Amino acid sequence: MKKLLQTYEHLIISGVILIICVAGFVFGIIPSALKIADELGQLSTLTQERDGLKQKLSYLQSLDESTLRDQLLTALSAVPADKSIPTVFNTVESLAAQSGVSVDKMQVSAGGYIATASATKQTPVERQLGTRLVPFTVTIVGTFTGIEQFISEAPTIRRILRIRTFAISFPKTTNTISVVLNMDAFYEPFPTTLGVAAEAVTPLTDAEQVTLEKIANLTLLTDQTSAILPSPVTEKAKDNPFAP
Amino acid sequence: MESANINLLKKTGGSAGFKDLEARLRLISLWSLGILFGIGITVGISYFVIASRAQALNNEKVDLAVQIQAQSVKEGIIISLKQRIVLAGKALSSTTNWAKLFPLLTAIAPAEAYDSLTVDGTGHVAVQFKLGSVDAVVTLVKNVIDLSDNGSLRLSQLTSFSMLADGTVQLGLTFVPML
Repeated sequence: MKKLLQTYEHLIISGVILIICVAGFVFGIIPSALKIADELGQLSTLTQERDGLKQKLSYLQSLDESTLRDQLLTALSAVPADKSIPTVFNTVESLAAQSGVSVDKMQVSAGGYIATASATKQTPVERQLGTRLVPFTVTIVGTFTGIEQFISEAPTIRRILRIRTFAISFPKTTNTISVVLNMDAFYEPFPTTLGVAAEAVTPLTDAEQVTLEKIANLTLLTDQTSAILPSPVTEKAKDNPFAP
Repeated sequence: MESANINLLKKTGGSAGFKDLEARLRLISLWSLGILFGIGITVGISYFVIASRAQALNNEKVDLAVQIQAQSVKEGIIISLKQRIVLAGKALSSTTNWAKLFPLLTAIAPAEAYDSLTVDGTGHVAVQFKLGSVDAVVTLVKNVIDLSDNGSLRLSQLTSFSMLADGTVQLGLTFVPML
């Protein structure tokens, strides 16, 4: 045996070295190469995320907060964050006064639950429209021209009102006619959560700009708004937002 | 002269072929070992570089996230604004502008001819007229036919017709105005 070992000594050493090399490749180099490939993939993802965050930060820094607040208040005066029934009443009364007719009776058809707006269930109509409704009935009295003006101008004012149905009766004894309108005002609570930091914030699209302009061009008949916007951040942000 | 080799164990089987194989195997094993070390060092350095880069990117991400958090009010406003614009767009598109209905009503009959008018949720208009004579009815029907022909009305239907003792005519009509 000793003689055999002595005879093949160099051969055995070379063989062992080769086995170690093969084992090194199989158990060392190949897993490490795979790990590096994986890390490279993660690096690519990290780079994309970093670029996304940079882009988002740059976009947010380019925005003027006061302009944004004004734009949001404009949008909120069209579709507020709560039912804001006083603004519905004020708007209808102002529109009636502007049209030269008078409001004889006004009634909110469904006051809804006394709960936060986001806690209430949406009706099928609301789900179909994609926004919550305050249905109400209003009886208007006035001349034919005045009523025509009221009905014609109702869709052109802020807050946005929708005429579902209406019924006009024309008494023969007097020039004053009355109309009963079933209408809807719109509202929708604020979103309760912000996206994660990595979530992209896109600028307003052309279509959104057009809609915003359309809203801004609607006649505002009341100054009242129930919008309460968050105040500007004054406290120092956490160094690590991922820390608990 | 005496040999200087003091190795008493002489190698056997040392044929030229065997020695050649042994030399080749030694060379291959040494090259393999060298390559293994080379690749190992390269892989190690690469891993270190990539890990350092990943760490740097992670740190950069955290810094950016902190800066974005400082802009969270703006982010909240822009998200709310976009949501509100979509909602307002939906609300506006669900409204019907009834302004065009009134010129149609005037084209059908004068205001004093109307007794009642109802518009339902599907856009159908139901009108009750009180007319002074049959001639007025003929004019009204002619007007409705003309308006239907030019596409201002559709689905116009006469729902009722009655003549009272005093000669007045009550007429019921439904139609869908093309607004």
